[in-house]
Amino acid sequence: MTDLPDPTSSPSQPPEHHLPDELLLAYATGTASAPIALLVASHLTLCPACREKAATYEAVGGALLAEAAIDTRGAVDGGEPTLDDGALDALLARLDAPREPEPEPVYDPDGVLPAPLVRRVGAFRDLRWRWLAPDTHGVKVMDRPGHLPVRLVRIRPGAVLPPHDHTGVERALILGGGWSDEVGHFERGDVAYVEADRTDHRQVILDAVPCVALVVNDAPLRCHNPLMRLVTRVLGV
Amino acid sequence: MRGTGSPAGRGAPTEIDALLLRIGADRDREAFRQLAREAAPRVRGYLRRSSRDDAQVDDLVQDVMLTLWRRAETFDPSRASGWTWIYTIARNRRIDLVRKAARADVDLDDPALVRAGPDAPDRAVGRERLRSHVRDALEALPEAQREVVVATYFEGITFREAAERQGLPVGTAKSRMRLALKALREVLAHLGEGGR
Repeated sequence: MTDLPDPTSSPSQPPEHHLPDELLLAYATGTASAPIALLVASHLTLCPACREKAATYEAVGGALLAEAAIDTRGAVDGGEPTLDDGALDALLARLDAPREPEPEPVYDPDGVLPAPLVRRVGAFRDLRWRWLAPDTHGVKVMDRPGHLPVRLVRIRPGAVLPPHDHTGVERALILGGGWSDEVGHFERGDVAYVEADRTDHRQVILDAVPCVALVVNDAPLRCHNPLMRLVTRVLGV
Repeated sequence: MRGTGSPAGRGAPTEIDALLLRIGADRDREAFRQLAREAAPRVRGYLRRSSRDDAQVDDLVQDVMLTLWRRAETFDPSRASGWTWIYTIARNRRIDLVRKAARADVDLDDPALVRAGPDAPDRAVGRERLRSHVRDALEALPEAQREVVVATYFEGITFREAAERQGLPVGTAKSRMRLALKALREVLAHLGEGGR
């Protein structure tokens, strides 16, 4: 396969563009929506610094659990008591019950997709890309009721994307290749976070290998070129 | 691990860590009995904040406890303390309940994982020392911030929802959460400094 972004071509450097704390916290507290959790877990796979932060937020949860007061009846913070001897015996009786084996972990044989994405879409090499817009192909990763679907996109190396406005927040995790815009360079592991009111966004795709990114968009992009606007409206890009 | 030079320098494992390790190594039922007495009420307290269905909560508690028994051999105290590990398992059960979609978890064995460089500080110690201080840190927060943090962890709602419940505009909520997180992180950073 010729257009496989080779993650080994740039040795796995920790990323420079990170997730906002708000999303790391949402992940650690289990309050993130499914698309955001997928984005966060994928970034964390590639970013030791954010992994450390998320682990800290999880440790706060562990601390809150540990510090909860249990009274002599086995109740927490004055609530109903739990786990009397009967309940404990019932629990112990279930310990050796036969159970289904845990599913084997699946990984991308080419090391392009983090495991949380592989669990959704399979191996990178088997993805079925569909044309989305000039220079751009996509694979739907997850439906998002009321929003654009979560997508993987693949953009031709060296492409210059048509200028566009953002009408909602866009979060993109670069998985291969990259792009540059007014903010900076974005490469594997980086998160590009575009605010909802960003106008005239111009992205240039880096040369050599296709840019592959996981994109979570709250609202459609609005292209300046009327023809492109029509295309994106029809496609819901 | 800096400055301590030996695994023992991680500090004495807590009682919960020791129980989990015994279960993982020997399938020790007495250890599980003790673990259940400590953990089940807390897990229940955690889960019942986000559900009013007592029967459902009881099922989830049993489920979490069985998961602790089955997966104890994967518990690694160098990655997270016992309580943090238990918290993540209880949290995951809650997510499974709320969300139909498969959960998205980082897999630390993923070949695609980018590891921290050899010079990166091992923060597991400072992180876990946070535990004894988290109460203090939370109590030091203004009440409104504290409520937002606790609600975010225990009630399964986002801080935006927590703020709306208090009748706060999202902007105000956001700045409160930021302040609260900053305060918590400062406590942590302080501990990290002292610990090395």
